[in-house]
Amino acid sequence: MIEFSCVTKHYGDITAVDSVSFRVEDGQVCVLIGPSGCGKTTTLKMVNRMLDASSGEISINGRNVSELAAEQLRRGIGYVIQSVGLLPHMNVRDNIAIVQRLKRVDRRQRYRRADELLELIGLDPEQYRLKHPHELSGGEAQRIGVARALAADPPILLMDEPFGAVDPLNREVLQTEFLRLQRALKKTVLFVTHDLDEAIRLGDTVILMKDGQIVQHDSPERILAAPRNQFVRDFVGADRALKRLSCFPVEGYIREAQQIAQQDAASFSNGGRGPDSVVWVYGADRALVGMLQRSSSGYKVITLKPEEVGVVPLSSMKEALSRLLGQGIRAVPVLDQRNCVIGEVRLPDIEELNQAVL
Amino acid sequence: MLPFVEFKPNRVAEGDPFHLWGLGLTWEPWLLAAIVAAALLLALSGEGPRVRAAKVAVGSALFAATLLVALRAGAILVTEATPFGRVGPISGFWIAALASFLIVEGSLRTASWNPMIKGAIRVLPLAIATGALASGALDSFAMVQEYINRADRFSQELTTHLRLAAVAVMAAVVIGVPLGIVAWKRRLLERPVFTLVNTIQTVPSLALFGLMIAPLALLSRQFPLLRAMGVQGIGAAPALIALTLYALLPIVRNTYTSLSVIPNAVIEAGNGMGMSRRQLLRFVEAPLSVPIILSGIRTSVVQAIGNTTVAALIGAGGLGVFVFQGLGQAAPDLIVMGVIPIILLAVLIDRGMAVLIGLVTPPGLRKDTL
Repeated sequence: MIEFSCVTKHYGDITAVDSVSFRVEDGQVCVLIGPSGCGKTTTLKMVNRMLDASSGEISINGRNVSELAAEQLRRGIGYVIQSVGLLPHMNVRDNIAIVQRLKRVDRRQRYRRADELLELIGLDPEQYRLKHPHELSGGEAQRIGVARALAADPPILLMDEPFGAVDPLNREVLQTEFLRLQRALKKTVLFVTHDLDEAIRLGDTVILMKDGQIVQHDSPERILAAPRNQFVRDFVGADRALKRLSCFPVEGYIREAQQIAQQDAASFSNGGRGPDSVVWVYGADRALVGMLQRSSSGYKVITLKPEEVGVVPLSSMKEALSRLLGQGIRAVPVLDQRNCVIGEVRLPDIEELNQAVL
Repeated sequence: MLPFVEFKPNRVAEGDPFHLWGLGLTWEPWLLAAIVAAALLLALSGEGPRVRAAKVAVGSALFAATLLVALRAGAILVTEATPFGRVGPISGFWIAALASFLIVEGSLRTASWNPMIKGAIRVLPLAIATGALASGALDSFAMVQEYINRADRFSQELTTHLRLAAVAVMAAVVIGVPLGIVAWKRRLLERPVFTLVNTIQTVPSLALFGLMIAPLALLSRQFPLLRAMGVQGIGAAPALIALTLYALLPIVRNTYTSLSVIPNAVIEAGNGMGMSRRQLLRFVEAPLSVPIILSGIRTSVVQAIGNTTVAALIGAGGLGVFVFQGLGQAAPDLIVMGVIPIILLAVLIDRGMAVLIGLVTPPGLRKDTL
């Protein structure tokens, strides 16, 4: 548990953080958001004492951080920054293992752990462990940055706009991955972003800051549904109905999908289902290859690329909607990691969810 | 074509230039001409790995043929009738040698061959020349005669030369690296430090050596202890000080640069994961900056080898002694005898440092530096 009580930070005459109090419960993700200069990053950096508070108290599990040696404190807290900061002269494995090296964990154990983490973040250890940072894409580097922060298995993670420098498509992938990891690892996370969609999607709670003060500290749904004042309303924007869809992962709205093997598709007859239903076609390995569409002469198979149409259970409903609109179909397939269809999300469900709030 | 070699009946006499076909040689000039023609043809035939390999071969052959013609010329021109006679390579020879170097080096630079093979091709002409020298085949050459007359003195001055340059660079490292660090850490000092080392670099070397004389002579007179240590207005002490001052700039500049190019994010990440001051130095700063500092030292050493030549003027010794003797006696062969080893030293040390830098550069950084 991270607890701020009346924490203030001055830079000369400027008050960057003004008497802030809040608490992040164990295993929760708390997102700090606000316009630039609102003090969110300063707030984050005071937790691992990259900055020291001018007054007030920050405690981790009841221990005041200012009483701990800064270096010891930091080794127990995972830290991820936007610019990643991988050490350019070390390969991926050594980068991930660096904190454990500082803690004098022996080499074999460090390397085993590095491979474990590469698996965990979905990168093949064989292929990646000996690469150097300049050979990685932005998204890969950021994943390695997360792996490095997790290497020593710290209970707390501080993430300072970790996905801010990644392109929007990759950002969504990284967010999904973060949700999957967080579900498995249950870290206590303080997360800074300026992207509202990201805050809503990832946060258990969201703290909206302005001029060093907390404006609203609430669940993402409440921030969208019940903005406390005009500032929050403006910040959330007119499209908050759409944004709200980011709060909900697809997994709660999966419907059973009808599917058929590729070789049977030619002889398929409608089987009595209504005109709204979509039939997915799978090929070898049961992976999605297309969908069946009625035409004047019966049915034909339309080829689909799984990565372009499919969503995963941890994708947001907003993503499902944008896939629906992008592909011009009435349902999107929900896929597992091998691209097998495990269900579908339908347009009427999204519409219903949207109307339920407003 | 330009005259190829000259013949002098004795050391100070005016030389007689000889053209390639005026030497009374049979097939050798034609061989050389054929190689030159092949080189011209290749120069027109575009790019590609095959062309490149052919260029390297032709370039090397050009050097060998040039040397061969000069050797044959020596054998023909210097006979028993002229015991003090000597041949000296002149414009034609030097241009052919230079062309061979440019052809080979130009193609090697872009070739993606094994570094060992490249190194061997580069060393080969040196080895041939050294072999010719050792076998006595070059004894009729003027420079070689100058050397034979001064063999003892030569090795002594060579040692002095190396020692002066080495001590000066070591002193410059001891002073320059901390100076570079200070300039980086304390922004206020950056400007004064760089103004100082830049200004030193602009003082002509001769003048700097001269400027050392007066204050050191004074010091030496005032403090007997210094005098006992050998500090005086002329000799090694002023030379070392001046050489050290010259060697400072590349070292200070590269130390400063090496620290300034470390990304802030890397430092922040290091601090954020709980590195102590010493761990940050060991895991982050040193591995990233040492290669760049070393390349500064590389520049300094090469420069110091050249500057040490001038140190001979204030009585510090070194290979410059021969250069200035040669100047004094109007004997260009003696000058060349002093200059060639200086060039060779500089090139060898430069290559050696390059190899060392390659070794200390971590694999992840190699791509940027090569």
